[in-house]
Amino acid sequence: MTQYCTFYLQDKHYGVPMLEVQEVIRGQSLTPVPLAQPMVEGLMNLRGSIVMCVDLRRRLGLADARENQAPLQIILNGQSGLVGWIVDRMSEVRELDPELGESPPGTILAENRELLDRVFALESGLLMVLNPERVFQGEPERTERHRESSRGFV
Amino acid sequence: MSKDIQRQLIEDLVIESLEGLDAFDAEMLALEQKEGDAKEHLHLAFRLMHTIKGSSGCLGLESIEQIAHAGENLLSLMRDDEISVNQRVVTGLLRCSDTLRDMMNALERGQTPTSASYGQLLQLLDGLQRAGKPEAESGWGLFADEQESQDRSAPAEQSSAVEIAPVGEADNQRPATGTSSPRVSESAIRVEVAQIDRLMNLVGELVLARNQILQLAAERQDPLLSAPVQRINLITTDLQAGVMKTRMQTVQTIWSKLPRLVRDLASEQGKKVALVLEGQETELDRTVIEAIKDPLTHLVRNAIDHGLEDVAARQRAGKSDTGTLRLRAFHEGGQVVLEIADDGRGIDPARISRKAIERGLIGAEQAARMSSRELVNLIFLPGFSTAERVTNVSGRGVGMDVVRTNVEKIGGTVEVAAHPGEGTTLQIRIPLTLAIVPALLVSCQEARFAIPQASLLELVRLDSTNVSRRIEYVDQAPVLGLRGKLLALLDLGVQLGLRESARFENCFVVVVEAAGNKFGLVVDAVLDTEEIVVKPLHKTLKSLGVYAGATILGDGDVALILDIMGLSRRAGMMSDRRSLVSDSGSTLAAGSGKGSRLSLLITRVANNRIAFPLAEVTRIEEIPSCRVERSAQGEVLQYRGSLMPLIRIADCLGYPAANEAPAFLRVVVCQLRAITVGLVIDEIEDIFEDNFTLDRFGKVQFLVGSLVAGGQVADLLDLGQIAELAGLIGTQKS
Repeated sequence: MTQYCTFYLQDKHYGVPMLEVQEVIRGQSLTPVPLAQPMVEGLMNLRGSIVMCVDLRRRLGLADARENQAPLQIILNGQSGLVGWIVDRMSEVRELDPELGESPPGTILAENRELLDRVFALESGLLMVLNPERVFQGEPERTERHRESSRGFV
Repeated sequence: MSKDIQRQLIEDLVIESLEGLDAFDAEMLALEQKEGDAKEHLHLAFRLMHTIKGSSGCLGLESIEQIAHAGENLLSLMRDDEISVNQRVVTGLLRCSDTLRDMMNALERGQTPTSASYGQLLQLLDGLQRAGKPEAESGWGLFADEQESQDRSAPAEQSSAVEIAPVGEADNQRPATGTSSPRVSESAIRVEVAQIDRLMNLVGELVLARNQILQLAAERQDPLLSAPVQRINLITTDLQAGVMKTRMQTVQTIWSKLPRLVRDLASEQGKKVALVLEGQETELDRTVIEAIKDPLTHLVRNAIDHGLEDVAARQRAGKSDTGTLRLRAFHEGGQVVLEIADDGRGIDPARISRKAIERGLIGAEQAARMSSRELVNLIFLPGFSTAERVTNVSGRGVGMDVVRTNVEKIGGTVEVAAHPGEGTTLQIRIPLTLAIVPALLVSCQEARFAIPQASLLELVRLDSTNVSRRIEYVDQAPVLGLRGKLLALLDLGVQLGLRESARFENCFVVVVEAAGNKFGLVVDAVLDTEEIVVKPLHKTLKSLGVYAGATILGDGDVALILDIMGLSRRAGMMSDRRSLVSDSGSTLAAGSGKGSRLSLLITRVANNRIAFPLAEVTRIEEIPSCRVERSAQGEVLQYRGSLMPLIRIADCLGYPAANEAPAFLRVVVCQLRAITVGLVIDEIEDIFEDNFTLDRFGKVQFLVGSLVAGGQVADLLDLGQIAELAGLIGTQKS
């Protein structure tokens, strides 16, 4: 059994292995990084460590969120340092058997498929488990057409 | 001193081996208890034993090596399932481990353990090997050899009485010595580097919090509060220094590898070299040590390969047969200086200048105007090598500029001082630590950036009154006239994509230098200088190449640290070293005719004085007329492996051609818009540097105007038009 920390982006349910998660925080001022990929929102000072914050919506090709409140961030402690994912809202921690998940269907957009490790069909809907390392392996140049087509993706 | 190194190595061996032996015991016990995978335990145990064998062998500690070897043999048979794991075998191996531990302890006290007293153990291990193997009688050929050699090496062993002595006896032979002095293995512990980095992080954080508390306390002016705050202040400072200290390593960590390198190189080249190391206790941050390792090794190689002469040459020069290579490390002004000095032939500025001209790195006239110190420092240009032949050691001309780039990357500088005939001294100056560097904070479009002070030269303020006077444009590229020289400007906002176009009103120009490249970075405001703690960036940001890291400012915000070298590379300055100089020529040609300081090369063409902006001139050649060939597009010359179009200035300007063709043509080689062109003139007259005032001609083809140089009028060539002409030839050529 593996524990997954789950969260929502728009109405989609995503998850990430709990072991990668360091903490969840809200609202920190970000320093933008000029020339960085569009998904990079900026750098944050998390008790003396520099955290690179990423707008997951932008990475996944979802519509930009326009929220007034300070963004919610999941801080992941991965191989290449601390990274913050900006998400819409947190959901519960689910304990699931990875065997029960399925590999992402081949029909979804290739670049999004690469980000997904497994897809679980839960009673409440689909839970898509993201692979934290792959999020940074080359952000594709998304065109409007891509944006359109990626809306069809679950 | 080599004794010191040996001592240090032995201490390292002792610490490492004692740790290894503890781990070994744990593996053995786990094996006996049948916990986990037996193969895995055996494998780990084998590796531990192998390491001890290897390291002690390197240090010539044969007795330890022998015992470890016997243990290793036994383990390897167990691993291959030739001997089954049983209590007897494990006991034997544990005894082997105990013995090694005793030997290490003896070594630590300065005694040399001999294998004579350990014969019994060797026999025991040997016996175990034979007993464990069913086909022992016939099948242990390999080991039999070793047994024989052991017998030979210690013939007394079998018969001597020491045989009965308990294995631990060696420990008690000289109990009086060493017990008073502290044991290295107990006075030093090995700490993971990551652990120290974490501590360093926390201390950095503490410093920030301390700063905030100090500020609050100063506002409150509460005596009850200020006393403990002061104490916190002091403790934090001490703690910071203490943690910094744990990250320090002595220069010796790099130097200990040099004697071997020097010896090998010297014997390879038939030279005699004495290596002198001074100041090896000088401490440096481990990141700096890491970064300096390769450049230093390269410089040592260079010194032996190029600097020191062979025995015969030294005798001819009246020097002793043995050359001296002296390495010194010392602190100076908050920096660490590493000095590499040899007493070899030194660098001959004339030879450097010749080579540099030959390789087209500088022009002949340019070389003539350089001081010998400037000339010697040309060795740091990319593509430079004075070695007549390429050896496997050096001479490929990629070395010195890489050395400089690496040293500058960590905020250091390299300089060379040569005394022809007497030797060469190279000085590397590096900061004590990379973790905390002084930096200048600047702002641009509301964002704050840190510029390491190592690359900072000066600050120039541009206010609305002097902007237009000092900034000019060369092909839309802004340049700043600063004390008679032109400085290329990069607008930070534009470079980082923060704004569309550069803004020069009320701004600051931060004059920086990276890899010998000087340019002005235009920023909106200069805020402060601060000691910043450098934090690494995520790899996706590192790959952008313009940020050296990030830091947390006093107010808790994050600021990016600019990578000056990366910025200039991004702006395309590195690829074209000459772009800065050639700008100056075009300025005069394209400018409004007002004075600016320039160097002009004055030539004679059919008794007219024709001026070239010196910066545009690559070389001046004298070529036999017979080498000029004709192709469909006109006269060409085979020049450095490609065809160079020749343009006769006299023809362009409609001057009469000389009555008889001269035997030699004087050619001014220019690089015009990526095409190398040879401009044929009659004679070189002189070079003048002055604030020339240009009187523009209206429309005279190929000439911009006239000016007074050296008291006489000269016409300035319009290289733009010449380039067009050359471009025509160039396109035809392709």
